[in-house]
Amino acid sequence: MKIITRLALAALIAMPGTTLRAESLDKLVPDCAEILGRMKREDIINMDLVNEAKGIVILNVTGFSIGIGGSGGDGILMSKTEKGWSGPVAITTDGGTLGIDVGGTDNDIVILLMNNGAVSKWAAGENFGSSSASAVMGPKGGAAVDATMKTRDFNVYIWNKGAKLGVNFGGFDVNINNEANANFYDRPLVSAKDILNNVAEVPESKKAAVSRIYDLLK
Amino acid sequence: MKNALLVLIALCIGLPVNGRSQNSDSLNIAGDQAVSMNKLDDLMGRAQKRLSYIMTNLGELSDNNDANNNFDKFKENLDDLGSIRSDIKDRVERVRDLQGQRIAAWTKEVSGMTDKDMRKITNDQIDAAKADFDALDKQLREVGGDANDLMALLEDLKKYFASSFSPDSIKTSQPMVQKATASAQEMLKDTDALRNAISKSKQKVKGTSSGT
Repeated sequence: MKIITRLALAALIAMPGTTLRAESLDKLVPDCAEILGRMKREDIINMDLVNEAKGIVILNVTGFSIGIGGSGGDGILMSKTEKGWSGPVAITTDGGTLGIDVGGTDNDIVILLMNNGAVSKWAAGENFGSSSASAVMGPKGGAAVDATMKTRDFNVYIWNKGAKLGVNFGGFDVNINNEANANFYDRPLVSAKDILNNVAEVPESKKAAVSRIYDLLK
Repeated sequence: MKNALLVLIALCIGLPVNGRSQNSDSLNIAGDQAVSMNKLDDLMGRAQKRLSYIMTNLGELSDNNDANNNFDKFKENLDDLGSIRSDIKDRVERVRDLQGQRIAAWTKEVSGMTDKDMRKITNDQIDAAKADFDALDKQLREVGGDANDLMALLEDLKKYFASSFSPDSIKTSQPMVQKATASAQEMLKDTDALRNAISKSKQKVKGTSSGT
């Protein structure tokens, strides 16, 4: 019995977060629309700053028990192009302390990417070390936007059961969920870069579902 | 001047400015109404998600992409949406009922007030609360009516595909699918606007907004 318990624990620890979570974009798109809608409705997110952003990340991050994989997140990344917002790129995050600083186990996170460099970092699936980026809690809806907010890499918004938490950002990996992207765009080798540059466009059959996110970003 | 003084006294002795005591019936009912509005918002979020899935199923179906599987998912999601819609209707009735109870309790409380000015202030607040809810209720009815039309359209599609499901029938259904997709897209937008209105109205019901 003891051996079985040890084996089960070892299997859990060895299991990467992405295997546990990775969702399809068909499910992620409505989930992320819901996160964004709530943040907008409750005046958490500053829409003036959204207009200035070059990209957006919408994530749900779950913290697991300490020693069993840190935290894992599922969500989408989008960039602003000349034609408007790109289609969604499915991403996952592993480890780190992305918004898990006050014991919350289920955080909705919106990150406004304020320059193209920040968008590229996310699109490349980088590791974000604890001091790799300037990330600050974004100003709430209706607040005046100043130059500092526009020039920092990220403005972060976190929602946890109604609480607006302080930002805790760093030490996590971003992974591009290639399988979900390939299924959604019906292109086996579609890259995040193609999606973010509108080279790969949202298929006609999926446009209606994505339109809610576009409407919410206005 | 006298009104300002009354408000100041009310604040000093711990009464909310609308003249109700902290444990008044109307405030207790307002708490229940706000909780009910939260539940209504959750249900609407669930309905929006389900509608998004349906739109994707329809899109895939009309592209003849894994059509059988997508039709099965479409039927499943439509059944779920129907069930959530039924819960929404019940919840809306509950919110309306609580609004009626709250206004009745508040009106009764006013009748017990001896100060004429305080009575006038509170009556004005009751009128504002009624007008606010009437506007929300009108929006609820409008979106509800559109939702009924959309559900009927989706049910028609379900019946159509159930009786004739082939590449040809899928092709013939295109205008109907396009109409349903456009209506669903509009419904998602209108529901987001409605949820905004519910959120604002809830703040007023809870008495946390200066608009109360």
